[in-house]
Amino acid sequence: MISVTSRLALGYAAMLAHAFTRRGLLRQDAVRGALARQIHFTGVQALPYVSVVALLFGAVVVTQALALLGPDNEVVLKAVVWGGIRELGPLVTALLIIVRSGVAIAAEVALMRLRSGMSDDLWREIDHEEEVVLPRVLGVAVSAAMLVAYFQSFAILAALLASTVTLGSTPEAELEHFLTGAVWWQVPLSVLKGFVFGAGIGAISCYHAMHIRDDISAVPKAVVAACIGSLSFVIAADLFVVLLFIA
Amino acid sequence: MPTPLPARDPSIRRQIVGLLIVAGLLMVALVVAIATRHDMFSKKAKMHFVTENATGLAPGTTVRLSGYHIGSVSTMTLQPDLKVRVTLSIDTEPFASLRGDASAVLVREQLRAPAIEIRPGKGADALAGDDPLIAYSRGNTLTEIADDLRERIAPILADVKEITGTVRSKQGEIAAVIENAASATRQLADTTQQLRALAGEVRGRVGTLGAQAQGMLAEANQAVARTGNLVGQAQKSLDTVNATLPGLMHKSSEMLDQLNGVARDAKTISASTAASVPGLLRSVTPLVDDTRDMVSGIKQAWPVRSLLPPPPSPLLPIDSLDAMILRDASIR
Repeated sequence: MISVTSRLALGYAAMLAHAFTRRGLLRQDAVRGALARQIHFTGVQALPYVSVVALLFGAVVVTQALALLGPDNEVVLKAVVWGGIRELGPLVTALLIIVRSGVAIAAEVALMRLRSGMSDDLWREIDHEEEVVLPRVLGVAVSAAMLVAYFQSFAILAALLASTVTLGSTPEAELEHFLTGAVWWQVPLSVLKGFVFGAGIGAISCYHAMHIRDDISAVPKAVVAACIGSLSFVIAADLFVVLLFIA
Repeated sequence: MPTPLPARDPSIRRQIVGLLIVAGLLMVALVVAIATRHDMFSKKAKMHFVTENATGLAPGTTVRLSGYHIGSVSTMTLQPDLKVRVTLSIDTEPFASLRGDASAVLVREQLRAPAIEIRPGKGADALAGDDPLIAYSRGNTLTEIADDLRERIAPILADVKEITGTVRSKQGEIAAVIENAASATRQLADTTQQLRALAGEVRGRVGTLGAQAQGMLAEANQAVARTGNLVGQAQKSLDTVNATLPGLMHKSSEMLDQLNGVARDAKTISASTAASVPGLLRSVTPLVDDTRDMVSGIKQAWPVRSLLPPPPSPLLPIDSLDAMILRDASIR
């Protein structure tokens, strides 16, 4: 178990390092085009889903916190600030990316590897695996950071509206309470967490897709492994960040 | 005909760039709003306090004045003497209203985050200078109150435990003591019952005495009333006597005068009688003897003798020493 985990961790790190060292490929139009496609698929097309989840998340967190803790603005907004922005926002966004894009990347790259040599309208310009990994890792990372930013904005908006309606106060007063309880560096930190989560999800998905046997039945296994690996990475990374701030 | 790549579509590129720019602007706006709210772009005044225990304090802890947010803890530094220097960064406007005896109190209320409440002070001098020193105190939390209670109660519990152990070790003696106490209690109960009966009896007797005393008092009152009446009557009598006494005295005096006259007359008469009575007495005796003889003769003469009842037999006197009987002529 430990050896498998260590091997996977090393493989994920190697995939990330591989993408980082091949960053010069971004000068190629084909790689930039692939990066733009990945951002479009992972970020732009997922924005409506993420927005809806963020709105529900902000409203639910506030109403549940009010139900549990009573009408205490400071505690409720602290829960929204700390839970919504720094912890749960990036985490929920990462889960959405795993469910929606991580499995898709794993299946796509695995099929590309199996069908390499076949003519494909979409990926015909890609000849090397480096050009496959870099745009996906970077694209998912940028998309995740962007989605975290939108998630935070929509979640805070919904939380302020929900607390305003529930407590019968004014939006200005609730915004004042929120800004008082917030700390400025939480915002870039959460975006950075989203970027790291996205990069990890992309790298893990590519890793499991690039290491399948030459058998079509290995594709579902690669997708499942990518999904589980991405989930484990996101949770472990989030735990690491939490422990880092507690220490 | 192959499907055109999405990346080749300029509208998609513009869409991506636009969304990225909007996301960046949202984050920048959020950061700026938070920083502005925390007065990171405004001039702040600083003051500090030194404490031996900075538990509950951290950079960013809210500083309030009258419950209103005016700043936060900016830095905390551990000094060489192991005390913590805590610097507060607050708005310049409320800082100007602080007095020289201003102080800071750490307030912790249940689930709420700890905060520092500034008490502005009432001194004559304003809090002046760059980074001035103020006093600091801590409000007790529930944990501290519980610890304090524990420190106070722990010795008591130890004593109770010791007493309990002693009691357990001497359970036999205590049982005997308890038995004795129970016996004494029973006796005490009997005694109490007797005392209660005695008290009841005494109460009855006292009641009777009271009733009697009350009757006696009533009678005494009546006697006093009667005495009063008698005194009144005596008073009336005395008044009557007083009223009639002078007349009586006067009459007595007259009577005495008359008696003196009578006595003088009697003396005169007796003096004259004394001269004639002896001869008279001497002539009476033969007369009496003759009369007796005549009466005896008549009695013994027939028919008178039959008309008269026989004389009664003389009775002997009951007591010879009774001089009155001896003097009674009829008995003889």
